[in-house]
Amino acid sequence: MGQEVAVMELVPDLGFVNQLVERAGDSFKRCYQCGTCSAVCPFATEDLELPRKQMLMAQWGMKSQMMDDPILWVCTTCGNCARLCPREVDIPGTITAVREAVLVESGISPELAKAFENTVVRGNPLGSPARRRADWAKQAGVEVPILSTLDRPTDVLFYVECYWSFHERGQQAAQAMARTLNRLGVDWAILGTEERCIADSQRAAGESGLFEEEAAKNMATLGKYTFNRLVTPDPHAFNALKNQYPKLGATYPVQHYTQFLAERLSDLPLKRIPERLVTFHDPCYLGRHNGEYEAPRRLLEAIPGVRLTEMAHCRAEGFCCGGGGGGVWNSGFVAEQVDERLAVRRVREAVASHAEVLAVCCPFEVSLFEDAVKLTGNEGTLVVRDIIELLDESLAGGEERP
Amino acid sequence: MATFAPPASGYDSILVIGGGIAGITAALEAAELGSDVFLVEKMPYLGGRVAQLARYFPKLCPPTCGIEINLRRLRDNPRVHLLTNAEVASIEGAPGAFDVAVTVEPRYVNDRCTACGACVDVCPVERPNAFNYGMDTTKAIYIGHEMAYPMKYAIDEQTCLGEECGRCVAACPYDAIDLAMKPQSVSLQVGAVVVATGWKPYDASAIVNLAFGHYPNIVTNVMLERMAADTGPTGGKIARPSDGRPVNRVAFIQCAGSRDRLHLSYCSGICCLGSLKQATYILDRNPEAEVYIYYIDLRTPGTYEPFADRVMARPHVHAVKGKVADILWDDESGDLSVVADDMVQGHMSRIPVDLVVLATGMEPSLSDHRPAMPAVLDHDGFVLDTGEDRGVYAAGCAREPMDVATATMDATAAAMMAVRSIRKSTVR
Repeated sequence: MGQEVAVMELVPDLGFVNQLVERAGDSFKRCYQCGTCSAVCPFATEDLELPRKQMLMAQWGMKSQMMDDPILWVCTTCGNCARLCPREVDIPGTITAVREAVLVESGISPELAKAFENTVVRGNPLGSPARRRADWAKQAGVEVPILSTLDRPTDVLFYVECYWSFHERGQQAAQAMARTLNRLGVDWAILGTEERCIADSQRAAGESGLFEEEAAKNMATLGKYTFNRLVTPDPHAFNALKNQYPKLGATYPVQHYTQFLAERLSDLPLKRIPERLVTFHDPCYLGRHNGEYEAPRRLLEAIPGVRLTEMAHCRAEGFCCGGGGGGVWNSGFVAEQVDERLAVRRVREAVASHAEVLAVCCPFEVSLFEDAVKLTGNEGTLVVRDIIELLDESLAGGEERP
Repeated sequence: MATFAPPASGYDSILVIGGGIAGITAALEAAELGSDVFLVEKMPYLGGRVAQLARYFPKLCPPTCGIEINLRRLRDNPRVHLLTNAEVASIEGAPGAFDVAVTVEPRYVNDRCTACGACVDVCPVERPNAFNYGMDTTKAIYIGHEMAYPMKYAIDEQTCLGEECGRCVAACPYDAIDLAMKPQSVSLQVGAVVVATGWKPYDASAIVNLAFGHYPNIVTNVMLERMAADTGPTGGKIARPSDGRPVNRVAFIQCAGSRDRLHLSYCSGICCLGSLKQATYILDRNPEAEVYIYYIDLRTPGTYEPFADRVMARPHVHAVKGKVADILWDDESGDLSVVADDMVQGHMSRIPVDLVVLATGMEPSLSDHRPAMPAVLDHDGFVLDTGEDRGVYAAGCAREPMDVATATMDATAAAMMAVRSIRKSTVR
């Protein structure tokens, strides 16, 4: 009555719907619009109904509307929505499929495009020179064997992945890992400059083509060698090797590094470190997507001096850091769409838990959280450490490395 | 209690499992048609879930009168043979000739009990009162509820201190307590079976995001029925469990664990009506209260639509289309904040309330307890109609979720089927 009603012409794009079904299955067709997903989405704000509206638009084949909505690129595929979905819709998978379907036509932010391009050209999203991939090993203080130079099989092929290879804070973690593996006497090696990005986050960001091309190269490289298992610090790589590579025809025994070390805790001569209260952030792709909540906690609890406390949202309910699904490369774009960075929100939770250390075990998290600590003015209150750094400190006899 | 000696009726009699409204109805209908009926109830008393309601559809009267009418029919009918504290262990045979094994657990109180209550005064043990969903306690020797039939005390074996204590035995003026009573196995011969095992409320603590059990001001719909009942733990007063303060703002959460593949995949069909009814409990006590009903679809099947319209028309009743996904708690005030995606308004809704009521659905009693009997249960534990006459007929919520009025009609139909089955066998 007197109100203007916006009338929208809707032409369902059935080809688009079929494309989504082919890529993600038809679970999204079960959605009955209850809104559980939006209410628990870490991005949920007053007027952001992500991903409920996306599920409706997917059902109705509203390709052009989805393409025009920048919100499509905000989702980190963290999976908190799917955890509670009463219709068991594969929401992250559906969002990924929509991204794939519209990627070429809709265009993406320059920063995300750059990360994709870097992956293709240099084999890593950071854009670092591929020949420098193993440079971190020089400062490890221990020998880091390169598989191609060993001329023999190895027990553990350590898949370093890009952030531990190139990012300064990641490199420190990689060095700590090398020392820990040597201390355990593990027969291990890395691929060195032969290693390329696993590109699981590029896949979740919509670049399945890129993911599959990278996978083909990686499978060819891995096929040259004999090893008993892959161990990786990156939950996204772990996820791809465990869940995506088998679909492409390659199955490897793979563990996240926390799982590998948790099985060998009794062999680690851990020494007391200065007492501190530590809280742990569950990586979405280790926890919710792959069900591993215990291994990281077992490692932390084993370190003498560490007192573990939990944040308000932990384990299956854990909040996302904002890095998954391409978010780590898209932060400028995402910041324009949402009220608060997820890493900022998570750091506030960590501070509220009174922890002095925010422990992580996903390579994206260290830099995202350290930025958030600065943004929230919590320098001096909270430090961010990878679990391997705390283990390394404990193994070194309680001396924190600079 | 005297040892139960079944009358020698051969295979002409009918077994009714469950002494709730459906079982009582089926037993009476069959008995009034001339059949001998064994009515087996696992609790020490009849009445089932209906006895736990404050008011019920269609006329919103308390269950007192409905149950009383049935109990009078029962008392007057010698053909109904009641076994309380009893469970069916197995049923073997074919239509017209079933052999039934029943286990009767000791009541520890015999027929001489007059319900005088002298035992209660001396019993030293308090136990959570399951009839009131744990909101208060009874002594280890207790009477099920004010309309319990038989009106005799029973002893909770799990908490009773036993013969070492024995204070009730000494206090009983009628020599009605026997702590040495043993379980008894009873064999019955029947020609047909009515399964009226009913339902139980879905376990709300399994719905982790709705925080039941974590915050005291989150209750379930069945608990609110007890709170609203004059005979309930609060004497009919609806207050915040955390501090007893009056309730001014209430959120009803529909489909709490229903239509949900992670919980009960089906719609129980009664919870929306239940919440609309309970909205009247709130507003009758406090006309200024605000009631929020969060729903996916408000479903009031059959002839109940006008009732829904009447309640929804009340100015203090607000329907919010959106399933509640999170409940936030303020430690200091005890206030709760209910989070949902309000899809009619098109924004995220966070409404502060005093009390949250989870409208949980009906889970069949047989879902995790499937006795050996010639009946086929579906995935959820409801008795399935396979289209084949097995001589075993489901009645009430053992068959599918339904309201009280439908359950009584369903029970009558099941009784007719059972009687017909026996007469067919006899003719043959």
